[in-house]
Amino acid sequence: MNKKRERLEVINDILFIIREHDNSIKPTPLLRYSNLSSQRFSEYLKELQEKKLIKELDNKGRKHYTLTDKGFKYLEKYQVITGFVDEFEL
Amino acid sequence: MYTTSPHFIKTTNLPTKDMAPMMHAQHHMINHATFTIEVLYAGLIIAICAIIYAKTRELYTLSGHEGIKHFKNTFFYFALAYLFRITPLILQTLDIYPRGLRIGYLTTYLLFAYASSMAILSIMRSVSHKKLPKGILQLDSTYQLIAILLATIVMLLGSPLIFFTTQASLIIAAFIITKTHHNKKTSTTYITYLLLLLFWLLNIAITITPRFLQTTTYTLYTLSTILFIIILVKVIGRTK
Repeated sequence: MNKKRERLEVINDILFIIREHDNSIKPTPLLRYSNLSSQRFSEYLKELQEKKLIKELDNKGRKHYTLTDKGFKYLEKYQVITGFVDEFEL
Repeated sequence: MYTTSPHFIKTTNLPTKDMAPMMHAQHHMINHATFTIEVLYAGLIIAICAIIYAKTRELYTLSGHEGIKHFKNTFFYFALAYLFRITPLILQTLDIYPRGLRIGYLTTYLLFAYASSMAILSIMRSVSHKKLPKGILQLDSTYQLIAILLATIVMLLGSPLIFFTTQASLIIAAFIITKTHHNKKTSTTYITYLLLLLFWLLNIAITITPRFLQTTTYTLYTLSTILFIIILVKVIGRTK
């Protein structure tokens, strides 16, 4: 049985999925790949947008998500962040 | 080392402007070497705390992780606490007497107590934030209120003993809560946090009591500095 993912890991997974899809993905496939319930997915999406890690773009009525610079930086620094949290047992 | 408490004086004995010549003579008994060591010690700790805060701030901005937030706040408040700890000594030694002297000392005392309480509470929250019950114990404002309340009580009563007791009680509570919620009971990180709190308590004791640990003050200062440096090295290593 998979252990529950920590918040940092879920965020990393979502951002990774977006990046791996040429930095543009629609909500439905993103939900599917993220392996989250729709409620949790909506919560995370809202948080990611509020924290400006992703942005929502509208292309002729078709919504899709892309990473911001901050989102790219999160992916780059993810190992540093988790290493820090583990080191100081936070 | 000091014939009177180097930093804080009971409110009933607070100096007035008329006492300035007496204070001047008295504080020349604090020799230059002692003053220099006190200022260097405080300055070094403040600088280390500032670097730790700056290094961890970026990680928090990216991640929004609660534990990182309280960790960086710990060193922010320690920097403030060391600053307010040394301020009265600098003002006295350099013969700077601000207008409203009594108010000035009381304010510094209040801020010292507030910053100290917040530093202790921040360490506790950084380690146990996941396990604290949801609701009021998760709110930042709760802890701000506790710190302000404690600082106000300390200032109004004007007793160094009350100050020491409140901080010691807070540290014991932080220790118990941290131990209860900590997964790895004997990790070096946990011991580091424990020593940080213990050394801080001893620093408070030295600040408010003239002859407490007089002969081992410099040993304590050295150990405290080494501890902060160890934490700084770890932080730098982990934030590259």
